[in-house]
Amino acid sequence: MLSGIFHLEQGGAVRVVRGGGTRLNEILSGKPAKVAVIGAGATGMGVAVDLLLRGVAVVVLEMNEVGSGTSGRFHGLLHSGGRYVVTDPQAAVQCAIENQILKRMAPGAIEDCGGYFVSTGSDPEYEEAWVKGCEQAGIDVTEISRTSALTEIPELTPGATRIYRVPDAVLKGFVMLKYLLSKIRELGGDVLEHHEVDSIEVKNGKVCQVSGQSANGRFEIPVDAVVNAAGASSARVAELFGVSLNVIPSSGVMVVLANRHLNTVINHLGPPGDGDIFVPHDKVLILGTTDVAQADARPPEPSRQEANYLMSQGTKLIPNLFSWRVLRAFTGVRPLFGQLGSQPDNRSISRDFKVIDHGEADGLEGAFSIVGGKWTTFRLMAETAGDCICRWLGITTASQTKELAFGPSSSRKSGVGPVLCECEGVTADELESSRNPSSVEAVRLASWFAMGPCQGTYCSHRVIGRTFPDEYDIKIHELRQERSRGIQPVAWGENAQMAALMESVRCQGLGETC
Amino acid sequence: MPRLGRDMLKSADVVVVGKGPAAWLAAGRLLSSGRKVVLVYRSEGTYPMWPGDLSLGNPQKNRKDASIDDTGLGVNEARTLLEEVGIECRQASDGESYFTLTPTGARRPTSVWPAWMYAEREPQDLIIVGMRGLPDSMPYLQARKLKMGKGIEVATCELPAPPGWNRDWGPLRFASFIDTEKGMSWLISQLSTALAGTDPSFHVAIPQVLGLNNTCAILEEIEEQLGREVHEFGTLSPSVGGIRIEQRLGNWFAVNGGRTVQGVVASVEAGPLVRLRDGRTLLTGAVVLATGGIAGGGFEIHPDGSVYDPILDLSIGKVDSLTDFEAVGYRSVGEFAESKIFAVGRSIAGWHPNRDFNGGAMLASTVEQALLMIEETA
Repeated sequence: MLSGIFHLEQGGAVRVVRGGGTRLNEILSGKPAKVAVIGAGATGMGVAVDLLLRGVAVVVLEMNEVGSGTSGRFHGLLHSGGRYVVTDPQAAVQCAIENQILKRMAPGAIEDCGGYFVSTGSDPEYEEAWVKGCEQAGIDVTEISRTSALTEIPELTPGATRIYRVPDAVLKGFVMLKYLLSKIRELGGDVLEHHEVDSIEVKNGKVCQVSGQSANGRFEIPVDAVVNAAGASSARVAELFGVSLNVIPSSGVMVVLANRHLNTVINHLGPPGDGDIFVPHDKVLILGTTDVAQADARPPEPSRQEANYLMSQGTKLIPNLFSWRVLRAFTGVRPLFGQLGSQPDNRSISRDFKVIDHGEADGLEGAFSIVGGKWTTFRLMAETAGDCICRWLGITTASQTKELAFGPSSSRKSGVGPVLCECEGVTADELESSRNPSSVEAVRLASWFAMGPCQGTYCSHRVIGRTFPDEYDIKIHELRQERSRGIQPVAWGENAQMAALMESVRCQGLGETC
Repeated sequence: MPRLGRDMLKSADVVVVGKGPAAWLAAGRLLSSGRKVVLVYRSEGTYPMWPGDLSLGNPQKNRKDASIDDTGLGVNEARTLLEEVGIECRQASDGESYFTLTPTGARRPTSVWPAWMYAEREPQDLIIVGMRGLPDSMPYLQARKLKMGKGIEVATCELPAPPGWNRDWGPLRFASFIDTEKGMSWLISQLSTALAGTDPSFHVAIPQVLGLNNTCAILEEIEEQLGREVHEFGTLSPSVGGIRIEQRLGNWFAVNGGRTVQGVVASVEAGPLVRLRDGRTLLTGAVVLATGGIAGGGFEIHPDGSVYDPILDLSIGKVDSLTDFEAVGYRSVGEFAESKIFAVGRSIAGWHPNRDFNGGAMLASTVEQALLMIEETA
């Protein structure tokens, strides 16, 4: 059942007359309009918050779980903009501004560790353009001496010629998503997981209802507008509008290194390429990334070859990289907006975003899409989309997301135990606090179990045995498969030994089928 | 080549490299047969990860060395060693399968198991005793899975957390507490309350935390006071059962003159001469490599998937996925017999104990083969 302001109404199309006419649903809900946002990633939830703050009623419909798409599968870099100053100045400026806003808005979700751009002297022309570009984009760049950089980061390549400090930071995606989720609920909206929209009803050229499938059966929600914020799946959602969108899913492989070897972000100063960013993330370090266009919106499984290639690229900055223990590899899919084949390669497609009013563009009133962009610019994307939608709804309230303040960081409850996951310190009572979890994935993201060096070998059975005892076999199997998909491509060195031990423990110690 | 002059004394009849179950079995049996044995190990072995029984799997599915019928090879000898170091065992007779219970309620086939361990031939009525505050105690899950479609009754009860408990108590801390007099009397009084009025014909299974040193005495005391038998099921991380066995093996080994040396073996040269990375050398009559294959760290996997044996400086093969891991390793126990080097346990390719539940057969049979060959070459 839908809760709060959204009720299942039979044929209750609510008419909203553009330009300030009578709004019947004002009487019904006390809100000027109802909007369904499709996709509970950073973009969709950002749009929801933006609209709710302007007094619009919003429900977010997510086919999987909050952050299960691209927002939960990225390297965690809060861009200073430096990466794009030469190739994509528009995105660079956006990043530079949003970087500052987000640091102020959600300090608990951001580790302001700073970053370095390291030049190896391979492309002096690019370097010159980069310095100039940073200045134009308003990015605060300080050159530091080679000696002090090598003292601070002894593992850095001795081939480093010049090193620049930039305000890169680390964005803890899931913390930010949690903030957005609780803000949405605080403002009277809701996020419904496992609600897959499969049809959008239109009356008189105007969107009037979204419907689809949830775990509890069919749902139908009368709305005034629909926002397609489905990320890599947004082309598929646009088809429900009868519209085609040029969203190119571009996959990137990332490798998680088991220790936090670096305390700052490190970028290679050169045209954006593969394996040229290191991002420290809590206890681990993430190396990113590749950029491969694909047809499918789902992230592909990383291969050993790709992981090995990415690591080799990473040795340009950290020559000793292969001696660092790897933990797993994963892929994310960027929903780039552009013309496939119109650019020499994916990297040339702008990281800029676009809000499309399908009323103007395609004659379907009340339908909007927001495509492209970056995690770093999600707030700006939300604001821009909010402006566009509110203009159409006739709402004049300005965006307020810039003034939002989240946090302080909701540090984990100090559990009374017992400790189920030793790697991440997850206790049994922490699980009890997330009563009726929707999935193992949701428990994992809320508690972070199975994310540490043992990758769930010793804790998965304890957590699933307590949270889903009645579906134990299938759930444990799914989690093991998911974990091993990420381990397999980087099963070398100590990680391979760990993987082999893990197989033994689960098959021989726990009697799981191998 | 090192100089093998008259000043170079033989350090041992046999040097065993490794510290896992295969290494201990080889070293223990060699020592028991009167050999001078040095066990060289780089780091702790995997005993603390196993509940401690020997599973023989299905002999028809076991790996067959072309020249050897390895069905049941060395199993009785392995059991004899366990009993010699003070671990009373039970054994299924030929053709019989017994099953142990895992913390998640799976039944796992076994063949030789310590007397403290719960094992059943057919699903039977059972009382599962849980312990609050123990990470691997999930009696509801166990009971649910055990009962499923088997027409048996499984009751559960849960003991409170022990006095002084805090969130950091793992199985080892529970076991250490129950090892004390205070802990034992706490356990017995809790058990008698929890089991009061239950059907005495039901077997009782409890997590494997009934002491590290005094397990047998604790079980006897329970039987005397409660008038019923209680057995343990294995728990993980660490597994107290494996730790008990390793401690008993280790003590027995030291008391009987076995030597242990911590160090990293850099190479085995002609002699055989075992050279450690820090420069120490051990001249010996034979070398047993029980380095555990990939899981034990005996083989290295490189990013391109190639598998390398750093001690023998050999390329062992190539892997792509985790399922390939079992296929790589030495071809046979005696592959390097000419150099008086013998390999045992997981480093032998073709065994698949995770799938076939024959880890016990793998240990017993490879160690038996190695010992026979050492006998011949001596």
